[in-house]
Amino acid sequence: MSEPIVVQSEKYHSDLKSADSVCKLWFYFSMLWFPIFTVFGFIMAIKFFVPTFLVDAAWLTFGRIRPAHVNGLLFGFLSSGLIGIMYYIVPRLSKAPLYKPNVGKFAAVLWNVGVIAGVLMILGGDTQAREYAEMPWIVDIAIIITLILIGITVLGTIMKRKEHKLYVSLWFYAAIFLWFPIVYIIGNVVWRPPTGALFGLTDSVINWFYGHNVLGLWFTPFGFGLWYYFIPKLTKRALYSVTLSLISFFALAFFYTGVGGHHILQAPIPEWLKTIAVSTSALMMFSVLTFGANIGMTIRGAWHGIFSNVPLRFILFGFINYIFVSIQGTFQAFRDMNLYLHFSQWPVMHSHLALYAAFGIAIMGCMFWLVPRITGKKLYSKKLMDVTWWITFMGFITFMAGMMLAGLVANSSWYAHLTIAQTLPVLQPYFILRAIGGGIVVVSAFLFAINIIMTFLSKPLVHHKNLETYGGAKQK
Amino acid sequence: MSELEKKLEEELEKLEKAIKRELKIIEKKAHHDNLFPLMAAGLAVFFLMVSMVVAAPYMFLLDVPPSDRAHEYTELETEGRSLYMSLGCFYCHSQQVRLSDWGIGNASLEGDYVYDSPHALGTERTGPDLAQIGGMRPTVWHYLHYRDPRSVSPGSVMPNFDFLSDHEIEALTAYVQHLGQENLEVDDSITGGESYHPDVPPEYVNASNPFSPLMMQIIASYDAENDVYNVDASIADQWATIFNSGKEIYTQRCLACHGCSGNAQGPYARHVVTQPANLNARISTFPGDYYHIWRVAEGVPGTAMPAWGLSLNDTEIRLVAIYEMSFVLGSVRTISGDISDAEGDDYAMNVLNEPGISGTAQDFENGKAIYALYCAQCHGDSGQGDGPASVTTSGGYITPEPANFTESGSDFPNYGRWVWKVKEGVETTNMPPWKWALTDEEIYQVIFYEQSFSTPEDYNAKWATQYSDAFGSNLKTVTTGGIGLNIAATTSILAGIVLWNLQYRKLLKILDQNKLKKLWYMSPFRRRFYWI
Repeated sequence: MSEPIVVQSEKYHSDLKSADSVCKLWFYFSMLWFPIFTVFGFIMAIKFFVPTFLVDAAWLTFGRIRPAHVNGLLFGFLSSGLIGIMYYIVPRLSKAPLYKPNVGKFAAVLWNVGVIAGVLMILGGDTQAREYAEMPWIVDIAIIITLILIGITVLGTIMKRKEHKLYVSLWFYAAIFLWFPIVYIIGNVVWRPPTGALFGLTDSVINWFYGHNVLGLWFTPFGFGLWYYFIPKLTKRALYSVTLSLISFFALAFFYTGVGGHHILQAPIPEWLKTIAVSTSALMMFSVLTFGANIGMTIRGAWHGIFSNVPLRFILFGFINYIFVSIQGTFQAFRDMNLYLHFSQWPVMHSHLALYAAFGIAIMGCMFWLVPRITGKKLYSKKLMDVTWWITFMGFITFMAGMMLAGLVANSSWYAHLTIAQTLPVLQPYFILRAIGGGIVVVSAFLFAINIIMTFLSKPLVHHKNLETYGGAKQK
Repeated sequence: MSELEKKLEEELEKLEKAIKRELKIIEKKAHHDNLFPLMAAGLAVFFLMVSMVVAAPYMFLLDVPPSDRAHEYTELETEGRSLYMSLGCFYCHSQQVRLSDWGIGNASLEGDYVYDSPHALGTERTGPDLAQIGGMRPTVWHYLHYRDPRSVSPGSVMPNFDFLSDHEIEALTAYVQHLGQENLEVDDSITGGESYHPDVPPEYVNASNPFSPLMMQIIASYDAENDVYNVDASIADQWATIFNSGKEIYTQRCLACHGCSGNAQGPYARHVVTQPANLNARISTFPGDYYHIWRVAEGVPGTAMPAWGLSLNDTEIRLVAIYEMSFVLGSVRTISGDISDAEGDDYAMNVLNEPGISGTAQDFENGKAIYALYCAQCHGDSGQGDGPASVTTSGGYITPEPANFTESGSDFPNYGRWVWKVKEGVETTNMPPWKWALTDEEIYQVIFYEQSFSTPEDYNAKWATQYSDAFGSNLKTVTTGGIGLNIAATTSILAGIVLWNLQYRKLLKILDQNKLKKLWYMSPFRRRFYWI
């Protein structure tokens, strides 16, 4: 399977236009949430070494800002961006018009209104207080409805497709909307509206089943779909192996589902559950390595693309980070490693490596590449895009280094039986380093958003007939 | 066209249609991938795993009985817990003690969490683990800590929660103060009415105190007739070194709660939620040295007793344990008081023989407060060496008899010796080296107060002249003081009358100016005082 063949017909383009308008709508929200909620993260980073910074109201306190930051970026920026990209890919791979585009638009609005309402409610104290599942019940319901609506449009498009072959990306996109609504309903305990929680350890088991599957069965399949589509397309190479991708699909469905327990590996949950969590975390490598090998073999001979093609550079950097973070995650899940690395800033670094450095940066690349194409406008500034890349990269290095060092210093101190209070002052320089890195990331987020907004606002190019050929990098 | 041909044609047509239909199906099968089997298989493996990691644990954890540490939350605690969750405390404070964790309580059990919804296990320890924090700190500490964390914990990075109302802080404290507190009510039928002692962890079962044999050897050599220990001078010195090292650590670490006499009357004791152990009563019930060592090294969960193993090494823990034995067995006095007397005189001669304070009334008051806090347990409220812990009082156990300040004439011939004894303590007795707990100024102040117990002759001969302030120099000059007071009182009364008179005339003038004179003259107040 190479890139989808472009059929040069009026009908085809008008069909795609309807899908692209849905895609655009999701992108609007995504690019807004990115700079806004990274600022929340920056505020938190400052609070680590200036604890009296913004403490005058409940909604400004660390424990409120953190879930707002996490939910805003996960469900606002990342999910909107990834869903938008999906709405670009699915009709093209199906060679069919998007099934019920208006439902897709409605879903975009409902989803993002839900997210912003949820974040505001969390800031106001109306939180269910379970990590990654903080959104209040009413927002949970809105999100479940949205998931079903998006599922209808995506599965409908795939069912009514004209392309005979079912490309890998479509497997993942179809499967997400079968898996994730179930995960979401179980994880948020929606049958208990007031608390959204069960009792005791059962609650923690279900919380982390959900918490990790937000990554495993939501972001990861989106990322797989995106990388399986864009990397062959942008490097102009055919996908190396369908068999490998089949292994990655089933390994994801089976092993990734079970890894949640490794978040509470030191808690008194049943031992056999810990064993399942550790072994599935290890076996998860089947999925990641087959995927990595497949993509790696696909790009062979085309690595030079990262020098010439900036969006590809973003997307590939995200891909590499994804492989790194998965390997890291597997090792972290082993009991002894977990014992050593747990509770510090290291896991925070791990989650940022996954969500920001892998998916966030990939979304940035995709939007740089897609927005000119779906709007029929020229990218506002290619130079700014290039600058954004370097700022992102520098921010990434500093940011990750700060958290990694803080984590390792804390862990090694605790390992030597030093208490938390004794360890905290030593961590200050690393907290400051993290805030500097985080600040650079915020700057890159703003530059990115400015570039995309200016692209949306600029005048369309006049002489275009083919949606596939205008904009950024030249296509054949 | 014959019938046969017609029939054949019809058959052919049918055949053609069938072939076309078949071909269509074949074509469809050949080229159009089917989504359904893939999705069905994907969902099947997904559900298989969900049943393993969600349904199975759910059933497995359905009937977990609550542990001794779990309790149903009261209304106030529930309110506090919901604040704890909504303010996101659990993002920085975990609530799970791991098997490998040390000094923050016992490893968490399944039953610890049965009343928690939602759970608060947490994933980060930016702040300390709170699973068993209840009772570890005074309630007032929590109040201060929420308002301004750095006022009680200087290195903390916790945000201030000054925006909370008093009631909210009360609720939050109620929740945190009851986290992981053990149910210590033990059925008498199990212990046979004896004190309850939990099982000692295996690594401590064989722990022994290397200093015990020496102590037992010295005690065995006690000659009751002459009140001396018949041991070599080298052994006596060795014991004094061990005892003083233990005492020094005790003064620095333990005295704040357990008090200098071990009777749980330290200055901090009144602020902690759980009363500290009275060492005299408690240690005598310990099953052995290993138990004592375990308690000191790992602390007592649910109380303010910290895990000293975090900051003391094994030898130090054993030293302090052997010192604490003196609260049960009495101090083994192998070094006579003469030696510390001589050291004190040396100090007076070469270093200091004058008080570092001028002897004001404020000094006296400060000294009195410190005396009540620290010294009165042994030396008594009236300074006669008859405090509640002193052996001279019934139920007391501090031997030898603490100093009696009312007859201090011979004990303290000079100021330097007094300072020396307070600062350095007295060898092989329970008198602690106070330089580890008090500042020099506080020591001078408390000595000033103690001097007030001595007889007037003694005081005036030795101490009165050392104080530059009139209060100190005249402390015991009762008669002159009385005359002075009389003169002062009379003078002030006379001065008051004169002043009042002047004031009254002035007042009249003002009132006159304000044309209220008439009213004033009519008032009963004026008539009453008109004679002035």
